[in-house]
Amino acid sequence: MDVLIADDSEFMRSLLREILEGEYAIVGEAENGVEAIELYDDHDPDLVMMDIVMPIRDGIEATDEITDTDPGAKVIMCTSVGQEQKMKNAIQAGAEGYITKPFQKPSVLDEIENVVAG
Amino acid sequence: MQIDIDALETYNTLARDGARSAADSLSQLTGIDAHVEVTNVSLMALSDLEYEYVGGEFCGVRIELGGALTGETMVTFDAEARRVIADTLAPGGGDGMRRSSVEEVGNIMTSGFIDGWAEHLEAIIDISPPAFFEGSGTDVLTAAAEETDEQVFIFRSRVESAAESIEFHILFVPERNGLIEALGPADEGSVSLEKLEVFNEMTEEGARRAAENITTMTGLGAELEVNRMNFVPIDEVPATVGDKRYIGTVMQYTGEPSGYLVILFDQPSAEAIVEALVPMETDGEWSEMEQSAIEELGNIMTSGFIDGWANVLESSIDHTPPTFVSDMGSSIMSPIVGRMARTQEHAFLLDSMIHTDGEGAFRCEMFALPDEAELREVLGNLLVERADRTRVEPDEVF
Amino acid sequence: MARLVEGRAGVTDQLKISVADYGVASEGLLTTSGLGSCLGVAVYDPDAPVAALVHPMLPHRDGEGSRPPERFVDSGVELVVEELLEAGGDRGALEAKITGGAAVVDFGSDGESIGDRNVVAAREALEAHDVDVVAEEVGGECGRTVRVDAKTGSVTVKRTDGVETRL
Repeated sequence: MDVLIADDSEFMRSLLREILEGEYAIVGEAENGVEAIELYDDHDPDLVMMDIVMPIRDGIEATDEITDTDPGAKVIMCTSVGQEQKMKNAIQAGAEGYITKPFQKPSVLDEIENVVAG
Repeated sequence: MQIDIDALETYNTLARDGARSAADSLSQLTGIDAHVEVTNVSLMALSDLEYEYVGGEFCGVRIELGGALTGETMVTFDAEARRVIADTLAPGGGDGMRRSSVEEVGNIMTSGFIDGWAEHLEAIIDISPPAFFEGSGTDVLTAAAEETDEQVFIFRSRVESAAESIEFHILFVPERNGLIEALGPADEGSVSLEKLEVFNEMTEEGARRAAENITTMTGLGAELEVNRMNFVPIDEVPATVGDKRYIGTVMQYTGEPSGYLVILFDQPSAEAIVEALVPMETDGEWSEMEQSAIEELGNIMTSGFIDGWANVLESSIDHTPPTFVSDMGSSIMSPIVGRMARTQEHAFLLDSMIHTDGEGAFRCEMFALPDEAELREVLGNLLVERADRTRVEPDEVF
Repeated sequence: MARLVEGRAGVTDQLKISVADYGVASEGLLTTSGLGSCLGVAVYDPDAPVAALVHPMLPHRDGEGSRPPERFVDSGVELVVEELLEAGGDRGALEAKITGGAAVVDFGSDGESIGDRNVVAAREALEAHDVDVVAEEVGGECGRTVRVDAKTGSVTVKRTDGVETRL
């Protein structure tokens, strides 16, 4: 399964990479919402791990655009934000899962399994 | 019960004037050039004051106040200030004489501090005979501090000398109801004391969550040590943070309220944190990955901190990606305060200190500066009964 | 305001200037620290001798009379020039040195930094009062600590990157 990581933090991308490598194929890493949309178009991944707070365009906007273009897109928000309103916004934008940072490996893998199983 | 914020400003000014007059007394008595660095009023648990007096020996003088204003006032000197004062006033004197000189300076300073209040209230404030105290931590606190966790207003001035590395504090802890009475009837600019306390508790919960997030990310046990809401003249915010060198992150948040959040680690703490996050050898400079790690920690701590506000207020608060900073605390604050000073004269400075003991010991200070007018509005709209709804798990929504 | 015109008996001859504050002295040192985007503007007449140091935070007061003049570069410069003349300085002999105005926090792409605007405002305000700017140590990304020798107008700037400059 192909996964796209979108997070502006180099440190967080490396953490996620460590967790996902071996289980999934990481096809791209985006540093902002615009890059996430471009890389999604380029690679058509099976799953996007999407941060919310990013420069240029945030993760909720990027999710909205990705799921508009590809209604089958699967996006898990992977964010430090724990605000109810933001979670609702993420659902509206088309996200199917939500992981709050800081996270542990099992919870990330569980959430991915949940979302992929639909 | 309503608190008139404008009256609180007036009282803070009185405290500052009182501290200046006390500092002038010290200068006249000893020739030590004493400078009032900062005067603020904090809403905090009295017992939290203890941490100001840990890790050193302090002494001071305490007087009890009655009449128009009840409560107590104290002057505390650090060990160096005590030595300099005694050397100046009682050179060659015995222990008793040295102590007596410090005691007398304390007496004169506390009187100088109180006079302005009496004048403002146009009434008499009764003063008890001064009591000398010495020690560290809880020794410095009043007996009242042990009785209750109730939040109280504490007026505090930090006075320093440019030439000598000495520091002393002048504190005024008014009895709660006495202060509210003295502040006078609330007008339309007032906020509810209950809501102010609830907001302070929400912030404390946010800071505690930020501490938990540090622990989850680094494996280092982190605990919230102090949480207080300071009300401080905007120009004095940089001095409140001080000239020590820090490493950390600055975030701007927008929504209701908007403002800034600054997370600062001292150098050894930042090194301990980075070592826990990025176990790599480095050459002393902060590498890209290390800066990124500090930024991401700041990002996660910020969410822990402000999400609680958003959830209780049923709104959303956005924050910018964090910016890495490494400089004097006061220099880091200056551009932030510059931006805020365009529209406000006083700032609510929410100050939380997180620390850990034992291995990888570190200290972290978080300073949140919400826009004053917006915070007043937020306090107006705050539903006290929702105050425990700071945390929302994604499962509840998805 | 702090003053050290007559000197002071005792153990110290330093005056520390806070943010949005200024001091005038005829001897000893005027110091200020934690200069980020703020400025430390030293104005002095070495013949008098008398010196002033002001630590403003924002460029322009914009006619808001209720706000403290020391907080702003334009009104702060005006204030210290007046104080210096009153303390025996000669208008034609006044010189100035500008320090500070750094961008310690990178706020990204929302316009010119406060520090840069403060420096420009200081040059303009000093020119308007016919005070020559004889030296500057401004800009960059580091905080600064500044000491002014009141007798000579000599200024020492210490940056947080360890660089120390004498102006």
